Amino acid sequence: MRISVRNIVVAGALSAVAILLGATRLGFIPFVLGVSITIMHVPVIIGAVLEGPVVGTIIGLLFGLFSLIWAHVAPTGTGDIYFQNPLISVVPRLFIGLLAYLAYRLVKQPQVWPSILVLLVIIALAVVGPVVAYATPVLGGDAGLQTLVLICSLVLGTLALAGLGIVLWRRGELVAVGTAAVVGTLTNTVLVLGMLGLLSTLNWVSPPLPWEVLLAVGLTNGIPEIIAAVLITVAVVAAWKQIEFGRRGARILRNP
Amino acid sequence: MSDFEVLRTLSFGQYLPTGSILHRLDPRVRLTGVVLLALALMVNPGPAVGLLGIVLALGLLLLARVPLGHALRSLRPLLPLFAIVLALQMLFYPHRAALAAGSPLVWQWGPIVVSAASLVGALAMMLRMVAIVLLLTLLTGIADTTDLVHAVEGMLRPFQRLGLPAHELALVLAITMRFIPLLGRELERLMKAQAARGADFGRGRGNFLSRARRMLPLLIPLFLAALRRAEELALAIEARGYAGGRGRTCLVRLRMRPADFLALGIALALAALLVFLDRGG
Repeated sequence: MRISVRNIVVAGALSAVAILLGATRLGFIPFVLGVSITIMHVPVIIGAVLEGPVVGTIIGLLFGLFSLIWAHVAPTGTGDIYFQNPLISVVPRLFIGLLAYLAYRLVKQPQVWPSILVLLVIIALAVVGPVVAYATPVLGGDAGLQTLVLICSLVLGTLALAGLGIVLWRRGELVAVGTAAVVGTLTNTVLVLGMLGLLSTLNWVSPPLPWEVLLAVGLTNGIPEIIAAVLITVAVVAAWKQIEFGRRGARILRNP
Repeated sequence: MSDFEVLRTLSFGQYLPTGSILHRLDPRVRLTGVVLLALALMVNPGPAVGLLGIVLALGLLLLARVPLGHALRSLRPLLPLFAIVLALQMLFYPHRAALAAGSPLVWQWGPIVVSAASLVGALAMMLRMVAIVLLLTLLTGIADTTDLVHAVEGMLRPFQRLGLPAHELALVLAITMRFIPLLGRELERLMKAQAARGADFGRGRGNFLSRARRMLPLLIPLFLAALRRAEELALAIEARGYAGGRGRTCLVRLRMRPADFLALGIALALAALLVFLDRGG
């Protein structure tokens, strides 16, 4: 594995930003009912987009290790009890950079036909999945599992449709960056909560959390987290690469 | 004004050069030993383990001549979490299964039951957290950042054969630790500058989206400052002819002495004891 000096330094600087966001609580934006959503993983996405998957993974590792240590020395909320487990705080974070980078490349220089094929397969699975779950006895009529399959299919299907739209529509740099932010955030949310659910079923964390609670957390936190991550990632990358977008010029000139 | 004191939230632990036996060990042994003990505590959930871990950590702190008052102060942020642990255990613990398995009933109010097993679980978690925080205070007391970076590099070196860039990863860690206070000061300046222009971060009214947008004038300059400093540092490093870890020599060569092997052996034995003690708990 070759790492350039630039890679090393950017990884170090963005890891420091991630740690700073966590320690100062700036990385947590208050949402409804005292729940905060996190944007601490945004440096990982930015690192992956600017410098590639290796840098993204290194930032993810340092961010994960930091959240593991911080969950012990300065815990602030419910989640910190679970982040004291390295399987939840470190392992999922290793994948944010890689997947965000893949999404970025895929949109920026799309291998159009293969990606359309993959997305169509995902959409087909999202249609077939609920049909199989509800109409056949595969799941043994378990209502909870059926709902889980339905919701997962809905989320996956919507995302695949959106991806299809992006691939067919245009391949601007910022669209690619935004897609990377969506995929990176989803990776963080899904893998952290999935790991938590898996360990709960195995009874490795105490107290174990039921899948329904995790699903609710995933939906209420995941969606605003995606919005915030896209907003910040696109703004930072556009400013760094000096790409103009949105309203040009000062507002005062527009209103004579 | 305390809102702007970013750097204060960043400090945890403090290096205390007391020159004790532990300070004189090889940095790799210091890091590995503490990490092994902490991992052992994370693996085994029993309450007796947490208690033993606390005793061990206190013993090591005494051995390192770290003032106990300093170590105990680091436990303060844990206190509010204990209430959350208790509440969570009561809410989500599978009480009925525990009762069926023979755990005595502690409290019942309508449909809410609290089993003794859940309280034991909560106690075990609290003891474990205290032990781990004491161990981390010990680590920051006996190893400064240079020690830690050397230790990480030394420990990753065996994996170099598998293609892991050990030296580069250690350098990333060193840069991260150097950048945290730098960017912290930058952030303080940004916050004051924006507040002087009437900004209001995170708090105040407005829906979620507008609150997120209000963070942008702070976050974008912070990211850009980090990237710009990184760019400058990369240029500076390359200008000095740095060429990575290959063929690089060190001023301080780490060598394991008999005392280091002995300490590592003791740490391993203690970690094994913690892992296998009281497995049922």
